[in-house]
Amino acid sequence: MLLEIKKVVKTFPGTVALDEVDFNLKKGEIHAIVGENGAGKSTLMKIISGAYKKDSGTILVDGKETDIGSVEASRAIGISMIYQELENIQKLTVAENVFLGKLPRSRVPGFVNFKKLINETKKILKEFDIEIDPGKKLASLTTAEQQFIEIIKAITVKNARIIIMDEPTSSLTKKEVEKLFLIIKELKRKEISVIYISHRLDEVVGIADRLSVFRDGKNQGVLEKNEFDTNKIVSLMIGHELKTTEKNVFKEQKIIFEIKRLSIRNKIIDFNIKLHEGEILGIAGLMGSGKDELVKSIVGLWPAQSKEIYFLGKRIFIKHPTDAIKYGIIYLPEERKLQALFLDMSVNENISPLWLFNVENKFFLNGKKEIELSKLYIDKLSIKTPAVYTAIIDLSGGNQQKCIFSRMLTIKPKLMILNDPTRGIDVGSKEEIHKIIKELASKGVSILILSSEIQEVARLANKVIVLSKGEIRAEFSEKDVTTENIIRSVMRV
Amino acid sequence: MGIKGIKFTNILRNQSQLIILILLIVMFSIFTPSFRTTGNFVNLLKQITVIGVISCGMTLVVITGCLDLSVGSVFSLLNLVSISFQQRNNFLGIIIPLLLAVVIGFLNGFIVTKFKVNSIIVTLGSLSLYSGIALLYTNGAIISGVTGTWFGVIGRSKLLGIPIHVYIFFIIAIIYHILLSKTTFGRQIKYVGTNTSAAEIAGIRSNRVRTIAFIISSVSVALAVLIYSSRMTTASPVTGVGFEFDAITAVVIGGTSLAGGKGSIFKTIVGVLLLAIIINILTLYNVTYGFQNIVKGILIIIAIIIDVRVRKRIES
Repeated sequence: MLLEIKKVVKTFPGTVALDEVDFNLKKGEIHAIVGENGAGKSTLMKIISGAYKKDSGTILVDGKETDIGSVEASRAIGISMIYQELENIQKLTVAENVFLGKLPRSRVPGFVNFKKLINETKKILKEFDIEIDPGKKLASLTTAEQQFIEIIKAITVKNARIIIMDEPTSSLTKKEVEKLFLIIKELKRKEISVIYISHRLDEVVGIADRLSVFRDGKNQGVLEKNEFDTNKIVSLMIGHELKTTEKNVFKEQKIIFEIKRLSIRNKIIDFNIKLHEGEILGIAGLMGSGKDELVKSIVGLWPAQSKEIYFLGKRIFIKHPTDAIKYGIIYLPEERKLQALFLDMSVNENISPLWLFNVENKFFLNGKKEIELSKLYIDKLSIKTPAVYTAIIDLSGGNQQKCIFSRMLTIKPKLMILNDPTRGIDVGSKEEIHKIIKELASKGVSILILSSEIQEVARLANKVIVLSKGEIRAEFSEKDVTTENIIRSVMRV
Repeated sequence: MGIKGIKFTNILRNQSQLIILILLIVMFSIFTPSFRTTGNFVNLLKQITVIGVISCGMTLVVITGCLDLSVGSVFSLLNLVSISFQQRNNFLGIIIPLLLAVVIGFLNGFIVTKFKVNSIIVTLGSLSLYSGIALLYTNGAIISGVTGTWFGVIGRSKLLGIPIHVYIFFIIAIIYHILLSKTTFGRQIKYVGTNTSAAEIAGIRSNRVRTIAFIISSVSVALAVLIYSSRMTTASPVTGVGFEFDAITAVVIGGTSLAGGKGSIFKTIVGVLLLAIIINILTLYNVTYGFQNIVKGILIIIAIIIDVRVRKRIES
């Protein structure tokens, strides 16, 4: 066995990312890993590539115990990760990139033997049957071609024995995917092992020799090629359906919002939806499906080529979040720390901004009233904080998120657009936030929800739209809103 | 340690500049007889009013996460404009520089926010631009205003032995303090400086907030110019040279973070006093101008290193 992972544990404050995970990799095999976001795939890859340190457990390379522990150590073992946003240098040529750090020297010290460089690169490219001129600047290549160069570089300069690919096909065309698979097969022939992470089951089943399914920080099972069965894989991914919580009873009555002809360059093609009072509408899709850009453009955070938004039948214009807030449309961004929190400021100051500038709207601050408001929401949402003056940075992720929810609630929103509302928070807080969302909907607030976890969308939404390459691929409503249906649609099975 | 102990260490950490200031004053009052004279203290206060007013405006810009390097040459230009108009009419000598300051501040803010360019570079450009205009305005000549009118009252009269403009400086500082800590606009400045994208999503138009901060900075320069013009009734194209450095040094030494979001007018006043007292002591000990500049340079570098280290500790 080339690489063996035994009972590796990795925890982050508030969450267990890897819970005694097992995984192994044979020499020259293509081993696929599937699982939802947050299942632990990326964390394990980061441990293997040396970016994270494990808390406990053992890692064996060639049967010998190794800690990895650093990026350098991982490289020395021959592990190479192919990144999406590639490490390559755009202004250098293909050949220079391939041999970066190992450029063939000319007889004159300090100079590069360019002839040799080009010829060597040509030779390697030919082995993989890649038709790219080694003298071309990298910037002139397509994403797929750049990715191929990255792979070539990994095996030439870095002498990689294990190549990790994380969602390598997310921005490739069908033809390019086929080419990538030929390259992967060539790697296999050269006895190089590949860890292939993907959400696209149809691709995975075609290329992999073995397949591991991750869920909840554990490896739920390793399937051999002859055991590949999409039903089995999907059921392993989902596990036991979480205790079926009651969904909101919802009747399609009043249409509150209507979005028509929303198009975003290269992202979204002519998107139309209607949102009813108290409806929870989920949007599912892979990375690159355009769902993030879609919700951002609704509130004016992403430029749209065309966009018509109607509020109670009347056309409204939203160019900046301020315009959206006026109509009670409020957006919860996915990156809590970067886009929602004022980290250096207090709990109080984190709850109040929307209220200050949209409800209170006075020139002078009223400190007393502001604190009363904060206290009210701390109580209402049972936020655990020592005091209203406590710096928000000292709160747990779940309590921070509840502060952000409080902030949104202060303006009595009509439509809440929630982008991954429970990212990176503990299970308990997650339940509480789900409860809050449902309560809001039952009081008539319309909700548009995106999540990196399909289960979350399935649990909450009355209706789910699956997006793919900027278009609606499928729509599920009422009883059809199940994790399985959505996963199947998202993963094209 | 009890609650009192925790609070005390907090005060030590948050107000270390104030403590250093008090220690300096006590120390030199004991060891340097010429320092503790009333005349010296009045002189000290007289010297800080111009830089003090400019630093108060600068504080708002710094809290939004920007810098205004143009204040020095804007000072020179407005000084010339003020005196040249005062030659015709006292009233024009006051109102024209204020109006011009609004335009200059708006342009700085507009370019920084609209084109999303680094404020240091933009205002470095305007620093050179306005110093050029100032030189051309009188072809480099020094000009004098009309003396003996009410224009000189603010700069030259005293109340209880202390010049009126010292009181005016403290009144301006109190107004800025209230603006920053007791109004919704002040809070917007803090939100924008702490996290611009979060502020935008929370419906705050960060571009507008930053532009207003730049306008306030330029208007503060105009106020400082009025104090100066009233005192001197003269103007030269180089009066403001180096003011941007002194103002930024005062703000940073006071403990307002260059990363934005954190700071106060009180801190800046402490910074202005600290800087002035250090220079005052050096002068009393006959340290030459060259060495004074070296000390100022070292001070700002130390202050910035402390700022960065404190921020890193918070982040980890």
